[in-house]
Amino acid sequence: MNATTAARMRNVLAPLIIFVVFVALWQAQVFNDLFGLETFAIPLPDQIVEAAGDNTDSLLRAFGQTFLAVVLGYALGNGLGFVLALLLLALPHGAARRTGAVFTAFQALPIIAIAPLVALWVPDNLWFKACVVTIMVFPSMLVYAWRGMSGVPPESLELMASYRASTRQVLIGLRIPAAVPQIFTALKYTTVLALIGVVVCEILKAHDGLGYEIHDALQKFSTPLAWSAVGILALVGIATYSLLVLLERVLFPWAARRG
Amino acid sequence: MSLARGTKGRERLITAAVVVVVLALWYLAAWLVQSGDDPLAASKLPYPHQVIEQILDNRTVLAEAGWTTLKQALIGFAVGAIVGVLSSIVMAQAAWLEAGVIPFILAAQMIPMIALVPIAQNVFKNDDVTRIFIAAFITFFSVSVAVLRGLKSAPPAAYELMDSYNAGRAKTLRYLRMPAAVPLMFTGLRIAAPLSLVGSVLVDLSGAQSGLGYLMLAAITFGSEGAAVLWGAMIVLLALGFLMTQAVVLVERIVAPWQPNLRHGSA
Repeated sequence: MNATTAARMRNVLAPLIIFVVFVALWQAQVFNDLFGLETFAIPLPDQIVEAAGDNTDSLLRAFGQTFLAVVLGYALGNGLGFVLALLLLALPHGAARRTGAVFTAFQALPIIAIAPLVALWVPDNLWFKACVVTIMVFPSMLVYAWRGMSGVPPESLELMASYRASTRQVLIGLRIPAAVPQIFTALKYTTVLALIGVVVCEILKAHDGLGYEIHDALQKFSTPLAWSAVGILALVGIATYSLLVLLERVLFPWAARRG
Repeated sequence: MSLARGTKGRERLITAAVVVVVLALWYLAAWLVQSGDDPLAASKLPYPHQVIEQILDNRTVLAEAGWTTLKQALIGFAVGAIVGVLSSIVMAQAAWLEAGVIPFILAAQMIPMIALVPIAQNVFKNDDVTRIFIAAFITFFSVSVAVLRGLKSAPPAAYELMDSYNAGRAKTLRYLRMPAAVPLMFTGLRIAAPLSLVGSVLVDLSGAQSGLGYLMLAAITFGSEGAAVLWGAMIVLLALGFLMTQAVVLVERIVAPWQPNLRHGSA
């Protein structure tokens, strides 16, 4: 067995062992005893799985409501960000850089602060969530896509110019392909942002979706159900992220290597 | 960026012009909204001077609520950062431990941790503890993944140099790996700063009786009565988030001024 196989086995086995030991300790109530908490506060794994099995219908419905809002806001936000990045490209470089800096600062803000305001403007549950997500998501895509599209090497631009390529041809043939790694970085980063936005909205006001399910289950003292809703959210986050990584590898293998 | 004096003056002029245009558009939009007969118009889009008035009138309430939210977020942020740095240094010492833990820390980045707020409230039954816990939890993952990556970021040639000096494990860690991890640690902190504030605010939003989030919630729950402080609370919160991130950037410039890209705000 050579060193690479050993490392590869370690990378698979070590997390697996840690996971199994963790769940086993949890199931054996070690954590509950350690922190002096009843299973009522921190339910055991089998209780959580059982709660998920007993409430498949309501969890599925909540998942649908959450997921639809996530997808809608994610698509709108990333689409808007990309279109704005294209517009920014049309500006003179100095002005575009300054505008880009403003949106970079945007990313540092707890954008969730505007959720109550959006709730006043957009009463409809689905669109309320989608709007908040759009506002949270678009600055990241804008900044990354612009950085990718404007950061092409000058020699490439000169080459395109020597071929008398039109602005449109430069965009499609050079800038957008060059920006693919950054665009995927933004797409991956914004999946979790979109989930956060929707969950906050649901806890805050919208009375549907997984976020509300968590809140509601706790009110009704069915903690295992709340934990299973959290578990589903976690799985959704991991699944969408992994899907994007896979998509990038399959569609743009050259970009995945670089990014 | 080194700009000639003339360009600097011109930049200032452009900034001033942008501010004036934005304010003018804001007044126009607010006038359009308020000329309708919507009872909530004043909270949907007040005039800029009304917002300032609101903040000044309610400054004690806002300061108190802001401090409640900020204080717990800061404590949690500090705890999460310290635990994150220490534990990733420990993890980086044993290859099997690192390999075993990394997938979970990476997965944690893909999970909306915010969903844990109601759960944590239910476990702790105490809003202050919940705020600190959530802020610490979010910061921990963000920082530890960054530091783990940073501890491995030194080029192989640097390790060879350390070997040639016969530097032991401890010295390699102290003089090579830890300095190499500092820039990435700050990236992690910068991402975690606004998020820990969001975590703290969400505790306010989901049932706590204090904090900025509670003030904002009042606007939705009590309609136009409670709307008086919505914009004030919102702006204070945005400002706190911005200041927290700027504070991280400032500390980074003092602690690790050697990075060439410091001024370009790379994400």
